[in-house]
Amino acid sequence: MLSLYDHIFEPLIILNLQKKIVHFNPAFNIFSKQPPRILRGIEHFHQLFESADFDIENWLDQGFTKLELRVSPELQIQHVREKDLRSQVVLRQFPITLEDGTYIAVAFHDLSIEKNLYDKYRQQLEELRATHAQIIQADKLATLGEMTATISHEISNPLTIASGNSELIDAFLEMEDPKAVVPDLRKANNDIRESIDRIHNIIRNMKHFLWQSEDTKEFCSLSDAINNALEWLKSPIESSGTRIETLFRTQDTVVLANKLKMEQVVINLVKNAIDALEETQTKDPTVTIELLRSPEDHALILKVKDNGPGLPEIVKENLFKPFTTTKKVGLGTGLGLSISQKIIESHQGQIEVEPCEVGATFKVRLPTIEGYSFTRGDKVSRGLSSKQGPRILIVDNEPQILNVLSRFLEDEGYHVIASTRPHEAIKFMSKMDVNLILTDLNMPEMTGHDLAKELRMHNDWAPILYMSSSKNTDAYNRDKESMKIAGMLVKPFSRDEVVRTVKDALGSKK
Amino acid sequence: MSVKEAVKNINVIVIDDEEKICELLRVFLGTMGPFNSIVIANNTLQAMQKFQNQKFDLLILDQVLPGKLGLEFAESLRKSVKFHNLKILLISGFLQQDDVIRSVDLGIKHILVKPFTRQQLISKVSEILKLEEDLEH
Repeated sequence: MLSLYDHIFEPLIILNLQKKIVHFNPAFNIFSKQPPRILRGIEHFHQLFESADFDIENWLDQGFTKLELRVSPELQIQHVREKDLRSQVVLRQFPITLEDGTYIAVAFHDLSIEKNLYDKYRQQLEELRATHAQIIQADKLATLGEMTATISHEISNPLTIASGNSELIDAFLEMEDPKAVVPDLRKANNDIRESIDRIHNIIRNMKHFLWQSEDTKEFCSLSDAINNALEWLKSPIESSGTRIETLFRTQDTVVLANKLKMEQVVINLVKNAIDALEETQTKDPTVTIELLRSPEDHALILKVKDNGPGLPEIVKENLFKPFTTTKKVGLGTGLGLSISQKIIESHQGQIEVEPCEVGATFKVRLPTIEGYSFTRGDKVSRGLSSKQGPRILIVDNEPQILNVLSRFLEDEGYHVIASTRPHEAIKFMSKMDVNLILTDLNMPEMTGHDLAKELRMHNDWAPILYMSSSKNTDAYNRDKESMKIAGMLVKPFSRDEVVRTVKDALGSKK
Repeated sequence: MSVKEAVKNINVIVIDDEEKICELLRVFLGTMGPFNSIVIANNTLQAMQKFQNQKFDLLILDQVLPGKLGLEFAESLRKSVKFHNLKILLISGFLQQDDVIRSVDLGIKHILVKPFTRQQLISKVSEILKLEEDLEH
């Protein structure tokens, strides 16, 4: 009767209730690579398999007492009679009742092939990731290489000033009465110190640009990143005679981003524009950098425009693919745009070419910090946590304050949403529940007091904390009762103060 | 004629956007003797104005200038007959081979590499002006 199971494709062994093996199906012969003649002589499971990380005997024993279908976790077994053979399996045991009694069948679900494929896939993915990191690094090195002339000029100037002044000091000291020239000595020495600082800054920026690879995002101003990038590009801008026009059409340029990577993107886009203008010998070469807020969703939009001949149709199609370049061999890696695209996408943004009549326009779109900080901090929907900490909305137009407060509060397990604009914060509050609001009192768009008033008018009674420097406690004392302001944080504040005040305010709600 | 005497008839113009380097050049040159004039220009536009007012014997030119490279400026100067024989000393921290060839084509035989010492500057200037150098150490 047991031979009924011979038609099953899955390897199978059958044991009697005394735990002796009484039958193997043909699929098992193949799985274990043992001929029937050998298997017939085997009575016990441990004569066939061992497992380093799982107690098979114990698992079998439990099956004998319970007599029910049991499935093991995924495990690796070592074939005792075939030392080089290991299999990745899931074991299943189930009782079968025949005329002559009850037996236990153990089926082997062989996952070795899948496991191998998965391991290989993982390994390749790992390699790909490493290669990608290397490419980014290579692009940075290439950018730096192209700038060698700039950098060495930047360094040789202060170096000349320093060495020259040290010679002057020597000459002064040779004089009969060096005391008479102390002011000159001081001045020379100051010039040397300033020069050393300049060199130090150049080297530090270079190291920073090259080796800061950690991907920390923080609240930062994109206009600062643009200005830094332009500082980097000073020499190519000057030597090519390109006019740079910056049109910052919005005061609020704060984004949640890795500032250095943003600089890398701006450098890439502006450098491309300069190179294109130079190569095509455009008259009155001009690059326009524009910052604005999208009228629809307030996303921050960066546009880099040039007044050159525009992009050739054939290039447009492959623009963001690696190794696409219009530059001469040796002048560009063709990686700049593909890397810029990767960077922008990792910030939930988009980069695209905007159709325009004159020249080429690249448009970068970065999400509002309200939306981005919300989705970033939402551990539940990202599957990182099963429980969501209380939601705290921070409204302050200073990115540094947002950074410090988010750090403090996220460490405590709170879900922090940040906003630089009270109007945007109010819009957010109308869609989402928030457990606590921390608002600065002095903001250009709207005061914290007016923000609180607006929320209370809409019948939103979430606890509100004011933040300000000490001289502003009047506002708190006035609004404490009438608008139920839960407390006040006086700048500058310590981590302990912040955490305690927030805890108190959250507690007072009940 | 000693160097000190010779420089009395020499007019120098320095073009460098770095004020402090101009200042250093003025002091270093001053140690050779009292030049007839040492004129400073921070960019090529200023320089062109100075050229209109005065005749110079020596141009000390920085390679990297705002808006224009020193060599490009030298090239535009050489196009005018007036400046065919102007002596030029090019100062640079970084020159590629192309630049060196280009400067030779432009009749610039002397390049001073940054950072430079006073002695290096003086010997280059003396060489260009064909002055007998005083051996003072």
